[in-house]
Amino acid sequence: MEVNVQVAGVTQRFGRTEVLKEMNLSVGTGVFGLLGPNGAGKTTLLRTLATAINPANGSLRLLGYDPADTGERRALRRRLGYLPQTLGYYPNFTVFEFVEYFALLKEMPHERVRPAVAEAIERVGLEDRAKSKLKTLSGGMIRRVGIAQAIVNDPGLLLLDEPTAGLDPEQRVGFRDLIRAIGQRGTVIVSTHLVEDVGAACSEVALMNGGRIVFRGTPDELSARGETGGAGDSPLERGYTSILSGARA
Amino acid sequence: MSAAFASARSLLRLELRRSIGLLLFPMLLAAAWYGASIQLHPGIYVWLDTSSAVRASVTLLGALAGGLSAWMAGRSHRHGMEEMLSITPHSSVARDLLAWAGTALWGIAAYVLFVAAISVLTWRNATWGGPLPGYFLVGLLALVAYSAFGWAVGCWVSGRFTAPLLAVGIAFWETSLSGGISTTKPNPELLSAAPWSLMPPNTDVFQKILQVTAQQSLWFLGLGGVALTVAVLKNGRRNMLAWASLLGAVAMATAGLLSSLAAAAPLVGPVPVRLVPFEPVCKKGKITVCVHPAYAKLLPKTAGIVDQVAEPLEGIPGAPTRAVQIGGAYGLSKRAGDVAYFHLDGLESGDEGTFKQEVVMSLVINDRNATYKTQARRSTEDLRRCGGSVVGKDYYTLVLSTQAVVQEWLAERAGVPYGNMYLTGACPNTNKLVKRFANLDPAKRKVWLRKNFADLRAGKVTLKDLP
Repeated sequence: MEVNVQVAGVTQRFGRTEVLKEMNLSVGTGVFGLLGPNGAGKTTLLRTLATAINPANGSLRLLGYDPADTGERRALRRRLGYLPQTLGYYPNFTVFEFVEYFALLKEMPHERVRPAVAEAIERVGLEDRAKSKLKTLSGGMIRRVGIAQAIVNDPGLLLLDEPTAGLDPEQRVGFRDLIRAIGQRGTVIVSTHLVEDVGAACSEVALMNGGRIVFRGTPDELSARGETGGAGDSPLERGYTSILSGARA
Repeated sequence: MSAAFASARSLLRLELRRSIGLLLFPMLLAAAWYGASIQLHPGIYVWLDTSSAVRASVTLLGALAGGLSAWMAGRSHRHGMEEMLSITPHSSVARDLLAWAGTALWGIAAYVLFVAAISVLTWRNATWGGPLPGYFLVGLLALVAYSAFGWAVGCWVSGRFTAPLLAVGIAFWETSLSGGISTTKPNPELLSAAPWSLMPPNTDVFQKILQVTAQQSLWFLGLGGVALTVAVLKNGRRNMLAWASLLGAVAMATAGLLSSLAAAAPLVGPVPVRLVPFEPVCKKGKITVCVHPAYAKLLPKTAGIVDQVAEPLEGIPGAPTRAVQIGGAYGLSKRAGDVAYFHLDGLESGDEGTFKQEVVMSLVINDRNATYKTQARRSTEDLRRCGGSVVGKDYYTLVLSTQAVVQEWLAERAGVPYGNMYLTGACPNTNKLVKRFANLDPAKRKVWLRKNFADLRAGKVTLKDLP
């Protein structure tokens, strides 16, 4: 399996607080789920992988590029897609303009920009609102615009932080289909609180707690860990709580 | 067309379409017009005035453009976009410059539209002179510089109040604080010599103006350069090129300032005013009226009014046979005794009454070049003769008591009585004398005027000599 994400001994600090602790992680093609309680370090890990913040220690290799090198970082960013937990947007831009803006900033070949924007908007089901200003959209629609800007450049590495927050059940089903399709060709890392998203869409999952990965395996393996105990309504939830209880103990 | 250029063009198109400058474009135009209105006179188009007005339009337009740029500079911070933008491969400097250009270009569009409208109007109506392209250029550079300045401030201080405070600050600076170079003996030419001053010089078509266009251009280019490089430095590009650009821009602004001072230096002190030679245009009626060719359109109206006012003095020995326009606030002209003088500032702005009063005064006195000391001596003697009392050492008035009587008679005939005559309070009987003079038999009055008017204009006739 081709390794697209290689994290080696990465530590991340905010002040005196260590948010990521000598983390090691290798991820290949497919959809990779990141689970964990609030403050586990999921968002910090995604921001680090998105090159928004530099690691305090350790090294990264993403899609074969070293983000510490200026030239390689630029090449990597052309192939990145990132949806932050809180999506910022310019309210006076239309859906099309906003996605086009990011397509241009991602330095896509000029002739491909408009078709790619139209396709990305169609994939998130907003084609009928393409000319609507962002300030007129609902929270769920804004989230889908965020996903559209993340996928517009057909990224080799797609990082999604709580992508399904605000989506209704039908949209979540559509979204899972979308990331599964993208995961056929590249790497998708999804941070989420919703274990059912992981079960439905992810080929692999990691559970984080206190800045470390405390479990890594398939969703079935996570479910299996719940058979011996743990609270929750589904096998995945029971596996999740069981592992966390063990880690905290 | 390279891919990078095409991409930049697309980004600029987006920025232009979604800029707050588009939304507030009518306000930009209104700011340009309002800033210029101080220098515009309806009906008369003098290139010097309209070119100055174009430059002055930037006093408010530049302030608004600066405020809008400051607002747009804080956009990504206000909307939580900074992180998303920071992980794109596109150059942040180019991205920011395009975002700034997307706002600045709306200000420039308003300016260009305003310049075009003013130029077309002036071209079609002006009767003298030509456009001053340097003024247009300085206005444009000042607009760009203030817009860049706003962007830089907005990059560093991205609060919600930054934009309005900055706009008010620039407007206050340009309209109130940004004066010219002042000296203890100010030469009017120096009032426009400061490189940052966009306000029109306090001069007119009669007087040469110190041109510091090149120096002002350097100053504003430097200011704009400093602002943009400071913005670039804020956004993380602290490389040698950025520091070198900052130094270059500072040097340019400094050169503009120093060369401006150097150009102004020879005019500091008691330097004679430099006049612009011209050939007046005249109309012959009861009295020949001449105006500066720039005011040729006002000549028929001016001549009509002067004729009406001067009609009772037709054929009177010593009465002016010519009435000539003189310069603005500084009364620039060598004056002859048999000529009446007037300004056209009042008539130009529709104030016919003040204009008539000025013509009347000029008809009855001929020595407006007298020194203050000479005229004060005459005034004091005149007051004592008419039975008034002098408080303090000297009394001063331009029109002496007997001249005031004739002046009031002429003014009442012209329909513009003074009412507040200089001597009404000082010389006890003047009002009665005015009535008596006005009620004289016209033939007797004419005889008296023929005999005494020349001396009256020279201030040699006393109240006792009146009929």
